[in-house]
Parts: sequence; structure tokens; C-alpha cells
Amino acid sequence: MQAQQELALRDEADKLELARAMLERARPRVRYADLLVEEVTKVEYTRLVGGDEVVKPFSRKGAVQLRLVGEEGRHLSVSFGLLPEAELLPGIDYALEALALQEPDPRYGLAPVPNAERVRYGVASPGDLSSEDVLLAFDTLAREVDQVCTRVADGGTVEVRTELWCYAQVEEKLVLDTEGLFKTQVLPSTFLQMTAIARDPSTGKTTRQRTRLGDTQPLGFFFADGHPAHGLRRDFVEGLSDCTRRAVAQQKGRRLSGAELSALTHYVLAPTAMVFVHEAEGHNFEADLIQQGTSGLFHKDGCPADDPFASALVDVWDGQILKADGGFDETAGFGTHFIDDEGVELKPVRLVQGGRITGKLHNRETAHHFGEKPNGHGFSELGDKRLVRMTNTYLLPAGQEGWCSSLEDLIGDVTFGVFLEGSLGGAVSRDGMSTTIQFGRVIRDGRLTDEVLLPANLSVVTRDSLKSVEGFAGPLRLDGVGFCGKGQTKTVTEGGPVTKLRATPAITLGF
Amino acid sequence: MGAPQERSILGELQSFASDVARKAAAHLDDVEVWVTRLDQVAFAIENRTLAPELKLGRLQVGLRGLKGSKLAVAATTSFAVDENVSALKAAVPVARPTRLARFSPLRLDPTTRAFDEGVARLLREPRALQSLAVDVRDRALAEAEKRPEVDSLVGRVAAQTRWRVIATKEGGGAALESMTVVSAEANSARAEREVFRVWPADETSVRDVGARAVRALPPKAVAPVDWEIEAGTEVLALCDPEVVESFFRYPAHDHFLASSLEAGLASHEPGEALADPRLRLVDTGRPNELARDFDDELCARGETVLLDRGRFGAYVTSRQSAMETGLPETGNGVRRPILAEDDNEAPVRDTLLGLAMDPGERPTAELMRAADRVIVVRSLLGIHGADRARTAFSATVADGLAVVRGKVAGRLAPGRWNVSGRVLPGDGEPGLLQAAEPGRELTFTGSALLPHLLVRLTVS
Repeated sequence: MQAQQELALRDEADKLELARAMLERARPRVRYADLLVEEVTKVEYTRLVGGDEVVKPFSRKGAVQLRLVGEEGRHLSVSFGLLPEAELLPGIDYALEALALQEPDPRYGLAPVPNAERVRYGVASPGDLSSEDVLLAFDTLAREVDQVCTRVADGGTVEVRTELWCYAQVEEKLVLDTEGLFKTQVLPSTFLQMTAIARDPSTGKTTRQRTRLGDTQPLGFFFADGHPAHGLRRDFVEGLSDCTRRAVAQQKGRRLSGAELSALTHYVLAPTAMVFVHEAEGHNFEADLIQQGTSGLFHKDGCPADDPFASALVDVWDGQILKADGGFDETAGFGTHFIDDEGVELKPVRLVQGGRITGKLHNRETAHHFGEKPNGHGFSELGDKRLVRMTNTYLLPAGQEGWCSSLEDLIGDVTFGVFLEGSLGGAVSRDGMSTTIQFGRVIRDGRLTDEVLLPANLSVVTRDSLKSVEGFAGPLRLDGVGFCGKGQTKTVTEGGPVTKLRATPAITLGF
Repeated sequence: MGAPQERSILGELQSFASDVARKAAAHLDDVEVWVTRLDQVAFAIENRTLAPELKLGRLQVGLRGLKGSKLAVAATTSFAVDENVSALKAAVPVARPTRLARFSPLRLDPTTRAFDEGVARLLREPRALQSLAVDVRDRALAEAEKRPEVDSLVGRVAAQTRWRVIATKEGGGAALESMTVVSAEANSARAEREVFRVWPADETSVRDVGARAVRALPPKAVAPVDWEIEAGTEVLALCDPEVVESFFRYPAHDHFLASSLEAGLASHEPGEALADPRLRLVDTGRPNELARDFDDELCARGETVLLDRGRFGAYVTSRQSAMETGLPETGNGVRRPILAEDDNEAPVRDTLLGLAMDPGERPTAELMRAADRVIVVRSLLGIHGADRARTAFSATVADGLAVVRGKVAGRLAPGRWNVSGRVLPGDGEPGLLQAAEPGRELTFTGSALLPHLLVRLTVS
């Protein structure tokens, strides 16, 4: 945690003045109001597949979210662009008129913000994002990616191209309310997405693989010793190389036949395929969905629909990442924040313990509704309404049982299975989830073969998603870096160790 | 022309964009200022609760500048002219090579073809929209009282006005657009949705959206095993217009772009047979529902025939891909974001816009009787992750019906129906569009005007 004075926001006095003016405008006509000001400054580099580059050396975006709570639980959320104050204040009047029209909602309320007296959170902004050093870093990164492609494609008949998208940004937020709450957070983050496209010119056949790196750290995160002059981190170079190799290898990929799909005994998921946990588990623990009745794992009253719902080998967490020493890493994980967009400190939540449901993800509204404590999961995409969102979601062995030291040990008893890696995102409904797996290999008689599979869809019935977990291998890895959509976008990570599931009718693979 | 308030804001945005362009042009060879503003009033239906949500004055500014043969890019959400000019100036030293020589010089009169005063009134008077939301909810709840198995009703009633303005050194265009979306979903399983550019004279159907969702939820679920279907079996599937649209937005999208041709990702020749001769598909901004006179580069929207009698027609282009391929400009340069990008941050990419397909001869209801057993696919989970190189997808049916001899026998059992297909032929494999029959009725999805499509899908 940084010294408090290093965490002041850019133009903080101006932002504070605007926020207070807005709250003061609303105060006489509401019982309570709170306000979120968000601003993101970003440096961004994009290289399209045709080779054209776009550099945005310094862009800035901001918005304001205002929540008004009136008599008898009437409430309203309003999102403003950063208009001149002369236009914003009439907008508040319009919102107040709309608030008065709302139906009473006597059950509505907001759980109090814990630790309300603490003001500043985050990681100090890494200096001037508009400096030329930042752009030099992107150049270095692009050059090294090209070298990776050249190495992988060297001597082969397949052409490899890449599409790159990377950025470094600082997100600043300020949360105020009419009862004196005042909290700020400064959070840098860095992200890279590389899509490797392999094409055999003789056949025109094209295959793609995508990989991502990201964390809540400044741009130095990409580089050895934190500096572009030292080149990309070795583990990242390896990861980018693997992605490129997979794109090339998939030129020989195939589908499993109907008979083979019916004969599958196991699915083995790499940590990069753990969007499975995000979709099939995480969303169902979001208390706004539980309240709506659209969670597949809870009844509307908050009681689990199925208990135990998972194998006793399984724990599931969301929040800060558990370290080997049993503590939590406050700063790691692309989905990490120190406080959410309501000013509530993010807490790690054990959602599942030994196969039994033990927690929910809350914002202040849902915490009040269910009579539980808020745990810092209320997030907004740049001024939009604050929803319940995941941060870092991961599956962990509940104990040592079934936890192997190597992949070889884990798959030793698999007669005919698939090892699945990477995901292109997923989607979820109350009953099930679906994700596109990027890359697969066949497991036969306890051994991982070189038989490569084409991208496939993995779908799972939510209630049965974790019932057939039989074991794990290797350490917890949060390699799934991405963006969750729920009408709004939120940075997230997901992961776990390599996880083995017995094939059941609840799990389907399709090509 | 639209209502005075909306027209006044359009004028302000035009002045703002022109001022930024004029000031920035002093430092650059050419400038493009892209501005959108969104105002939206929405009510989320969460069982008995209505959760109002307002968005007011959400402004996005995308800036591009040409200096020599380099392109400078910036993005803001600021209404301050000087801040935008400074942002673009700051991008000049790191501008990257481009083949664009200038931005569009087109000068267009402001257009309100996609604007409706009836929708704008809902924004100015939220009481009317709230009344609609209450009605949608209450009718649905009344219906749900007869169906004890219905335990969740969520929906949304939203009206929005969007202003789109582009100014370049020599050109300019402005558009005012409005839209209303009313949707409802029962048990997270059966959704109904209506989208309007123009407020309908008869509101009965709109107010009944939630009740329809409840009524249409079949009590029985049918799994593939109930029909003795094994993995790898083909079934006849009647795809909802939104599912049809998703085929062209995800798996097959890139295969209609000139930029894909240039990058070696597409290689179709005009006249090449790709689909059933009954299919004609155009990318167009002409119908009032799909009204759009210019793209995000101020290029006039044309009408590009993508499929004609099942044969490949033409690729759509942005200004750059048109220049690189020698194809005509079609007005398909779009600030198409990926993931967390906002539109103003996104590079201009070739993109399919308004899609319109000719209707077929047989009514949709008749297509449901095309075989003893047909599945109706109304929503697919995860099709956005499709394999775009192969135009192939495999996805779970989130909302669908099992139909036996033209009668609904049940809903497709949740999580049990995973369907696969390849949209266009290639790599020696057939494409599902090669044997596809369109229904007679067209539906406006918000971005396309399409019929149902009867195709064959493979069950996994």
C-alpha cells in the first residue's frame, strides 16, 4: 500500500468540487445520495492483422454515477457524461423529478459501508503515461512478438500473422455520499491480447489462437526487471510462443466423431480453460441475480438450490488471490480492486467449501436485501449502474485429497479423455453455461497424445457442473485474464489448478 | 426534422465537432472528429420491482488526424474544444504510417430518418415509459399467477436517443436516431423482445411482451435422449431471426469483409455458390428500420448485395480497404470495439451493418411443420466464441422449442442441446446456408431485418 499522499487523484480538487455540487443539488429532495466519479487515462497500441498500427498516446474518459434514494425506498440510478456543470445540474433536476414518480419500494436499502473513515486506496500512478517511454515499451513488445512468430513459423509451410491490442491505464475513482463518506482509489492496469493467425497458403486453411496477459500493475509488468530495455519477461515470451505454436498445430486439428464424443470418460481442464468456473459458478453467486431468481444455484430467498452441489474435493473463491502461506495477495490479479465502486473494501469470499455453498457476492443493495455484510463486489463500467460483479474467481482443492503433483499422475487412469486449453469467453443462463475452448488434445490410456482438436464448445448444466470433479494437478494459476460482460464490461481473472472431471450427461463437448 | 430540444443538441454537437476540426486543422493536413451522445431512460423489471436507470449526456469523441502520411488518433469524453484539440495534437508525434490520404469530404444535410418524436417523448416524459414498464410487468405477473412454475420474471423497457456527428476538414454529417426496446424473460428460459424505431400506433403487442413470455414457456422439457438423438445426429432447426443474425455477426462475419480479403482470411469470388438459391442478403442503410446514411468515416452507406440467389455478391469496405483492394466504397467503416474498448477508442474496422434478407415463400408456421420433428432455436449461448476462420460454431441452446408435427411438444431441455454448424462451405465441408429456407415474415432485431431460417444443425 502506498503512502496516502501518493494516492491523490489527478485534478482531485476539481472533481471533488463537482461531486459536492451535484450532491448538494440533490440533498434537499432525497433521504440519501451517493456518487461515483470515474476517470480512466490510457495509452494504447493496436496492430491490426493487416499490419496497420494505431497508437493512442493519451486518451481520457470519465463519467459520473449518481444514486438517489427518496421516501419509502424510491430509488434511481443516473449516469452522466462529463458535461459542463451548467448542463449537469439540470440533469439532476430531471432525475429528481423521475425519482418522485417511482413506485415505493419499502424493502429497498443499502448496507452501510464498513471502515468508512479510511479514505485512500490503490497503487500510486506510474508517472506520466504520455511519456515517450511508454510508447517505446509498446514498440519493444510488438518487435518481440514478431520475433516469436518468426521463430515458430521458421522453416514451416504455414504463414503466421498476429493481431495485437495492448494498453496501460490508470483508473481513478472517487466515492462520496450525503453522509460524509469520501473514498478514493488509484489503480494502474496493463493488458495485452495477441491473436496468432496461421494460414497455409497452399490450402487457404486458417487457424487462430488467442492469448492474454494482464494485471493491476504498471506497464513494467510485461518486462524483465520491469524495464523495456531488458525485453519481455521470459515466461511471457514462452506463453506467446505456445499460443503461436498452437495456431500452427491446429492446422492438423480434427473434430471428435459422434462415437468418440459418446466414448469420452474425462474432461481435463487447464487453468486457461477456467472460464468454466467464472460462468458456471461465479455468476450464480452474484446476489443481484439470486434476488432476481436467475441464479441456477440459489432460490430467490438466498437459500442454496442444491446442497451439497459440488464434489467434496472442491472450494471456489472470489476476491483477492490466496497465497501459498494462507494469506491473500492484495495487489495481484487483473480483476482486483482495493475498494469497489460503492467504496466498500474488496474481501475474499469463499463461495464453496468442500462442495457446499458458503457465500455470495454482494453490493450494498443486495447485502441489505439478504441481511448480510457487503463484500466489495459492486462495480460500474465508467459511470453505469453498479451491479454485482466478480473479480478474481478460482477453483481450489478443498484439501490434499485428489491433488496430484503432475499432470501425468492426474491423467494416469483416464482411458479416453480430452485435455482442454484456452477459451474465447463464455456465456451463461440460469440453467447452463457455454464456452468456446480454443485448443484440445486427446488423452488415451493415461497419456496425453499429439492428436490436436479444433476449437470446441464446452457446455455444462450449472447444478451438476462440479459434481464430477475427481482431482487436480499443479499449482493454482490465474491465467484466465479477460473482460466479463453483464451489460457492462468488468476486468476479471479466473483460474485454478489443472482439474479433472468425469464425463457425465451434464457436460457436453461439441465441434 | 425532430423535436426542438433534440435538434438544438444536434446543432450544438455539430458546432462542437466543427470547432474541434477547424482548430485542429491548423496543425494537421486533415482532421476527422467523430462525436456521439446518448440519452437513455430504462426500467429494469425484476419480478415485482422496477429499477429505473438513466443515462444522460453520455458523450464520446473519437479523433483522427493526418499529417504527412501518418495517422494520429485520440479519444476523449470531453465537451471542451481545447481539450480535444490538445489530445489530437499530442498524438501527432507518435502517429503511425497510413495509406489514407485524406478523410471524407462528403457534406450531408442532418438526417432524422431514424428518429421518432413518439420515442423522444418517452425520454422527455419518463412517466409515460414508466407506465409502459408497469403494464408490461403487471400483465406478465397476472399471467404468471396461472403458472406456478414461473418463479422469475426479468425484463427491460428502454427508450434512447442517439446523436451522431462527424466533421472533417471539408466534410460533415449529422444524424439523430431513436429506439425503444421492450423485453421480458420468464424463468431465464423464454424471452420475448420487441424493438421499434417508430412508436407503434397500436401498443397492445408491446404491453403484452411479458405476458407472452410467460404464456410461451412450455411446461415440459425435451432432451435429445427423449428423441433418441445421439451425438453427431443432424436435426432440422428453425432459427429465430436473432439467431440468423448471429450467424452473420460472428462465425461468418469476417468472410464478407474486404479487409479479410486483403489479410488472406477470405477468398470468395463473386458468383461463388455459398448458400441456398432462395437466399438474398444485403447490407443496407435504406429501410427506415435500418436507416443510416453514413458510416463512422462519413462515407455514404450503399446497398451491398452479400448473397444473391445464394451466390456471393460483394465484399463490404471501409475507405482504407476499398483503397487497398480497388473495390468500391460501401460505407462499412465502423469504430467496432472489441472487449473493453469504447466505440470512440476503437479503430475503424470493416464491419457488416444493417442486414436485410428477402422473405421466403412459406409462412414461418408452415416451416415448423417441415418435418415430423423440428427444433426451434431462439437463443444460442456462446456463439460469439465461434471459429471465425472456419465459420463454424458449436453452442448451447438457451431458449428453444421441440416441435412435433407442427405442435410445440416442450422446451429444449436446458443445457442438454448443444448444436453445431458451419455457416459457409469451405475446407471441403458443406455450409448450413447451402440448404436453408427463409420464412415469409420479417422481424426487426434492432440491427437487421430478417426472416426465420430453416437449416440443418448437428446435435453434440
